Amino acid sequence: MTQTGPIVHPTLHAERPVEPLLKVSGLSVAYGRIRAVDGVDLAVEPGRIVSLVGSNGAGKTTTLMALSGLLPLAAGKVEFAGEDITGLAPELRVGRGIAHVPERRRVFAGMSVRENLVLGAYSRGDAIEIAGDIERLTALFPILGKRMHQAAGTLSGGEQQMLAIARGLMSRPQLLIMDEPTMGLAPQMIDLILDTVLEIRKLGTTVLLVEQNAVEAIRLSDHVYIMRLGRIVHEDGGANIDPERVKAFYMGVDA
Amino acid sequence: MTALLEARQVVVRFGGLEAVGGLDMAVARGAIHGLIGPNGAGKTTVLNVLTGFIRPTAGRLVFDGEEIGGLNVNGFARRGLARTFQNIRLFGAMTVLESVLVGAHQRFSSSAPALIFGGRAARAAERAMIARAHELLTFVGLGREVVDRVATTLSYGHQRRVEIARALMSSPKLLLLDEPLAGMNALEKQEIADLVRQVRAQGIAVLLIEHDMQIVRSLCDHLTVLEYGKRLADGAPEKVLSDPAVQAAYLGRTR
Amino acid sequence: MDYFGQLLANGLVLGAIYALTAVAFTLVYGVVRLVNFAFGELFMLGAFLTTSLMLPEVRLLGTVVPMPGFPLPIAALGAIVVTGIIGVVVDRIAYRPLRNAPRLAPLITSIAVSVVLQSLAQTIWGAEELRFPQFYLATLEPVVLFDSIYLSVMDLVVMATAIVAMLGLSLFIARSSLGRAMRASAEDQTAAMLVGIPVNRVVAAAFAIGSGFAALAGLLYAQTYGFAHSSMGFLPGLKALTAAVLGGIGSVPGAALGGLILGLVEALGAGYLPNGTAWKDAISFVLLVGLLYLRPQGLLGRPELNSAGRGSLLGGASSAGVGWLQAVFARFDALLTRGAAAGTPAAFGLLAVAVVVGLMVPSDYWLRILTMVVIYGMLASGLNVIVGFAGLLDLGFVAFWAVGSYLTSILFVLVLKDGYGIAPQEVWWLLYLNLPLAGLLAAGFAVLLGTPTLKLRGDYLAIMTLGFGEIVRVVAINWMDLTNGPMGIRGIPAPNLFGISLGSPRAQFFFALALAVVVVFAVARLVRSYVGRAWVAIREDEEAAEAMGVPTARYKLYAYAASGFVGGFVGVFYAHSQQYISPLNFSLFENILLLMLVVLGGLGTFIGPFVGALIWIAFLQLALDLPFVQAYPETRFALLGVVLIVLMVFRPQGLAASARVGLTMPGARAKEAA
Ligand SMILES: Nc1ncnc2c1ncn2[C@@H]1O[C@H](COP(=O)(O)OP(=O)(O)OP(=O)(O)O)[C@@H](O)[C@H]1O
Ligand SMILES: Nc1ncnc2c1ncn2[C@@H]1O[C@H](COP(=O)(O)OP(=O)(O)OP(=O)(O)O)[C@@H](O)[C@H]1O
Ligand SMILES: [Mg+2]
Ligand SMILES: [Mg+2]
Repeated sequence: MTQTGPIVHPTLHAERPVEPLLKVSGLSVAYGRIRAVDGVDLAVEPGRIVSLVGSNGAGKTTTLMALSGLLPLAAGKVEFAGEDITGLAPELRVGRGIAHVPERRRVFAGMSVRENLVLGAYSRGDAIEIAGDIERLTALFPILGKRMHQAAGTLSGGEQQMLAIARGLMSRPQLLIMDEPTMGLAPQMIDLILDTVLEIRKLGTTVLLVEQNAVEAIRLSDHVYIMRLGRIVHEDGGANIDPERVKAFYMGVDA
Repeated sequence: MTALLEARQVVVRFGGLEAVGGLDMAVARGAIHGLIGPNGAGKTTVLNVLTGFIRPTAGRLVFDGEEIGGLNVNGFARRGLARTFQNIRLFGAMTVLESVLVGAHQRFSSSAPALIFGGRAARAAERAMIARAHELLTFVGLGREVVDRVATTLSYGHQRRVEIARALMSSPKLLLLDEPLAGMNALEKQEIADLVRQVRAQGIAVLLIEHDMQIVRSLCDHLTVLEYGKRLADGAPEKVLSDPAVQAAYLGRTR
Repeated sequence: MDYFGQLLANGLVLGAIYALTAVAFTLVYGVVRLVNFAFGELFMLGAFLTTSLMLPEVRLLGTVVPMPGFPLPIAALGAIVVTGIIGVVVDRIAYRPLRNAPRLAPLITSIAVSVVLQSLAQTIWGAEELRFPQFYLATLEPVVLFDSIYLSVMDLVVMATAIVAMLGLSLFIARSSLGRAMRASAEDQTAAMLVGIPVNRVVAAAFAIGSGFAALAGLLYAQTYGFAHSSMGFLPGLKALTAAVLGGIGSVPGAALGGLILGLVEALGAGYLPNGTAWKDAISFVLLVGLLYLRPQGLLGRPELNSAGRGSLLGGASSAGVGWLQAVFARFDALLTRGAAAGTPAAFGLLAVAVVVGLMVPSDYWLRILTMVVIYGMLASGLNVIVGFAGLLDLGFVAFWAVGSYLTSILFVLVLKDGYGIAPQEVWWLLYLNLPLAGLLAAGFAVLLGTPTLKLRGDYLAIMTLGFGEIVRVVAINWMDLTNGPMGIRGIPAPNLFGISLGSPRAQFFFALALAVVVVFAVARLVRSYVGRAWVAIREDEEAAEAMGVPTARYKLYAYAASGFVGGFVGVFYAHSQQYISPLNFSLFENILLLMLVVLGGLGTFIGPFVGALIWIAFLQLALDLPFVQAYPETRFALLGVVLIVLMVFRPQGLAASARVGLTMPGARAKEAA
């Protein structure tokens, strides 16, 4: 895999310590007696792209679900924009500026594409600007524009993924959490999504990204966390991580 | 040699939308046949047609010399077409062993009284199939420790393997896989690819939908490229992938 | 014309009332995919509250209480608001803790809520009707249309209210942000939360609005027919549910249309068909069954709603409850898991316990109760095949049971004794012939009734089978020559073996136990084979099962047949053990009771149905001894309802759910491990 194309390498303000937008300390989550996530610490600084990589079953999705309040914490603390949001209901976190594009898309299957987008802005008070935002997003994902009145459940897998991302962006989040946004996408579409991630950051949105596609993720991230068996096993600036080493981390015991 | 599966002039319309428009396609015996194309091109729709899930609006299907267009879904399975799903569909609440045994359904024939009164033949069939299930689970790389776990609580990659074992349990002539590698890391993709090669080595043909071009290039004997429901290219992988039309429609800069 | 016009007017009024209630069902179903049976009772509360608020004084709990005597509009508004609040409270207590529970758990609590509300109403307002007071509008001259149709002013008010309310609601759902949020919550609650929808509040709003509609319908009903009564909500509730399904559940215009059609068909049918009033209740169900056969999603419903519904029928433990309670359950679960893993030895152990209990219990009274436990346990096991294993929510199971009971009773009493004067003792062996015969007959009947349901899934299937059950019951009541009608059949002989009567309670208990062994053994053998695996696969994902080569339609019919066989088989013994049967024994309530036993005990387990039966019947008896219940007998069912809700909230997966059954043939794996 060669690095072609215009990747802005983003270690510009890496040295200056900034107050993190999202700060997670000692996060643990259990399914019954099994601890799927065990004492995870994360810090996501504003305006950055931070990714969380790791093999199947490492606990990435579980971590994200806990961050958006969908799973109860066994231990730990989540702070967002300087406030403790540990016990906050998931729907209120959207209002604070966190949007989560979940694994496997979860679009509202029986509702039209347009309705899905409008619902993405549910937490916003400004009804007037919604139409404008939808227009901007359809410029980004032209296929969605063509499918505006089709039921979301009948879209192809890739189209649904685009819709899920667009729906997440409709809340104009400060932090966009994306769980495997490139899953099931065609190569061209993956490029588009990854470019979009950079685009989103340029507009001032911070991104927390989970990707299986570690090489690509590392390439565009400012900071990378590597997760295995529920723990963070390594972290570093995106530029400092050699994708080949990530593979070594994956292999560990039990892959 | 005649093709194993032939689709002639298949058309699928959803209301006004023509998802597949007059497709001709032939899968050779013992081949790994890749079906690729942009998101929304109609690949899953084609796979659904080939497994009886969707009745095509027009067109014919010939499998192993027999017209199969009029059969219902279980009829397709009984003729030797087994599939996996783009979104994994394992039976919740069933253990791995039980789920895999469902794949062998058509190979049981004991009557209700024989089952109730414990006929010897019924017991022998059950034993034989359980032994075969264990073989296949080992074949797909799952250990004894997962055999009695509820299949849906396994990690994503393991669930994929269970799905493949379940499909193989019916001793199919053609295995149809819809994006079996989505959501896996490079290492796991390689493992599944090896598995698919071994399936071919047993004389089972494979139809594979996949977006990872590295894998497709190394794995497939033949490729069909779809775009907007029409065949854009068809032939040997190297030839097809170097076709400028395919590159423009499908391949991104990084692949 | 005169007559027709009048029937038409009656039909329109009734239709408007059904439509309003149907909207309540549809609205809540549309948001949480729950058939909230309690709407019938909220309908009744609306009627009582309005009536009470309009009267100068009412007798409550036996004492006369002065009331404000409001005019109708104010009283109605008050009743709607109060009922809306009750609806929200009910949701909070009985449904919200079960949002992630198996799908049948909230269905069962909704039935429990019905029972609680109904017996509370009976406790508060008494068992008599409360007359709806006279008021100004009702005294106005009727309006005459086309010289022949007399419509009272209130009839017009009823229709106008219904139209305005439904138009308003339709617009609200389609256009408003809250309406959109309701639909989104229905699709995927997790995704709804992720876009910032406060799902719990949205659901509460749906309950509030739905309950308000039910109350409105109830008060209009009370006004039209002139009374309020604690059991008035049951039948209209059922009809409204039928109307909602007829129109396509989840669709508000569909509910309106369904209600209207049902009201008209009933009014006209009752007026024109010979003996129309007697068959009135069957008409709506025939209509329902016929329509669902032709159009599985209902008139205006979306086809994709005809699906198994979100969430599994099984699984999904509750996290409710304090630590020590969870610990107790964990201990209990471990025991069950071990027992289920042991399989046959555990079954023999349980049988030994049952035999010892049967020998030791001294009182006939308790032996009779234990016999009932075994009978209900067996029937529930039969239902468990179709609901628990194959995942088809069958609410018409009682029909199979009735087939068995009637077959043997008709043969023994109406044909042999009354027809040919043959004493039952002379043909004692016929009972043993009837057991398998009735099983086969009921199995055939089950296949017959099952065939038209094959295209249906989830709740639609439930409603269609409910329709079948009701049709069978109405037929049993009205087909006097065959069944003796509502008088039932008396003098069914007790079981007898070689001339020795097995009529004593102890003998009956052991007879029942022997049958239970047969039933459980046969069911277990089928389930622990490729047949059972095919059933469970259908339950979990019908399409995937089909793709694996399972002919799902055929296996669904097998499940119906197996379940029907058990129903007919046990029905024979039931008749001989009770010695008297009537259509009342085979009501919808009995079916729901059986379903409750299965869910309470644990769907898809062998022991669950018996655990459910034991707990339920024991509670039923123990509650009789409470001093409070002796003072207020009506509260007995309220108390049981509360117990049921508590059990469901803490154990939504059923008490014995951990006794999960393996789906491979016992013994077939023992060798493989070695
Ligand atoms: N509902 C559940 N019940 C029990 N265990 C679960 C559940 N969901 C996930 N797990 C387990 O928790 C662990 C972490 O799963 P998680 O889905 O967070 O992994 P992931 O890193 O997102 O993997 P993937 O790349 O496959 O999506 C896995 O071992 C998985 O089996
Ligand atoms: N039931 C349906 N109703 C209407 N349109 C549909 C339906 N099913 C699929 N489509 C449309 O048909 C087209 C082909 O869909 P399909 O799922 O076959 O794509 P695909 O090639 O598998 O894409 P992907 O790689 O994203 O999975 C899409 O544009 C989709 O929106
Ligand atoms: Mg994940
Ligand atoms: Mg697809």
